[in-house]
Amino acid sequence: MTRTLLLIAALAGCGKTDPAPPPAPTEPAALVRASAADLAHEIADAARLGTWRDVQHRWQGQHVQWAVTRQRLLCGAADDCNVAAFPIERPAKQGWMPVLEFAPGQYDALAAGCGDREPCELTVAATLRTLEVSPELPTRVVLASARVVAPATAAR
Amino acid sequence: MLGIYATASRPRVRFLRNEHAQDDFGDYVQVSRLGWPLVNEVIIPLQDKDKYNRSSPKNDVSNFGAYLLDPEVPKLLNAVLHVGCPATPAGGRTDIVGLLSPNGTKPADLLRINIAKGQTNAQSHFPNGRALADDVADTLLTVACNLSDGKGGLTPIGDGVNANDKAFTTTFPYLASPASGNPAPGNP
Repeated sequence: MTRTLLLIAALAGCGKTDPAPPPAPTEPAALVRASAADLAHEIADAARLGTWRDVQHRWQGQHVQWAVTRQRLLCGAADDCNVAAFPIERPAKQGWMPVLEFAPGQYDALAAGCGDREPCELTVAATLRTLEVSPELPTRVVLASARVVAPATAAR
Repeated sequence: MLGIYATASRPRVRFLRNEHAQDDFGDYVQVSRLGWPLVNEVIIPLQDKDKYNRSSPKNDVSNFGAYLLDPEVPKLLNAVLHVGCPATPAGGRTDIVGLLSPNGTKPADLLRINIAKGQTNAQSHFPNGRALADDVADTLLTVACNLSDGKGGLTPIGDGVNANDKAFTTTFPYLASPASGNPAPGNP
């Protein structure tokens, strides 16, 4: 009985101890000036260092402004559009091509801006809504609320 | 237009035992897939081949589109065999993307056949379907290299294997058993 009371008292005492305050959540640094090549470098580093979650935490949800290349074959409709995030004629080191989800009217702006140019290089501003990165599955990038910015000025 | 692909999966966890062969646990996990022949071998570079095998054709452009536009094998053919494949054009290899998206379908690594034309087996050859004897390796190497023959066509590039070492069979699956890989006497 005495042991039981001591145990209860000890547990009650533990309950009164103030827990350490949780660490303040760290907001990822703004990446509006970072290019797709910067993301590619971080993904390449993650493959060596295992920092997949860090990369996702740092980039997902960020506003970005990237120079991209549109091929009509791969971006034929507002709800079916992928663009190249790197110069195409380089040796491809990573295979991902961002999905563009357009802000209202912006697919038409892209089509009008590109006209007959094929391929068509332009700059888009968007929110990096989804970044899937892992050691086992391929990288997938979704740029949401995409707006066409002209002329193409972002670094590649 | 029909598009098909096949996958192979294995249990998530396998314990090898002394007393018996093995115990398997967990869901099955996809570890390989095939639609068009040789896409993983010809287009996807080494570091992403396993990821390709784990993925689905519906995301091929999102996951691997940059490789479709700039495949690796022409560079390897030039580096190793000095074939002379031209550099990737400024717009990328949209011809390869087009082959993977016939009749306006979404580009994906699927083996396609256009059934609207009522082809017979004799009329259907890769890349519209795939007949058993189609030399798909030569076809894909030729397409991937993209070396002009000066007459509006492409210079044929081949792997040097132009006939089967074993005859087709007369019953399903019509293919001879694969070679063992173990040259020990008694193995097929």
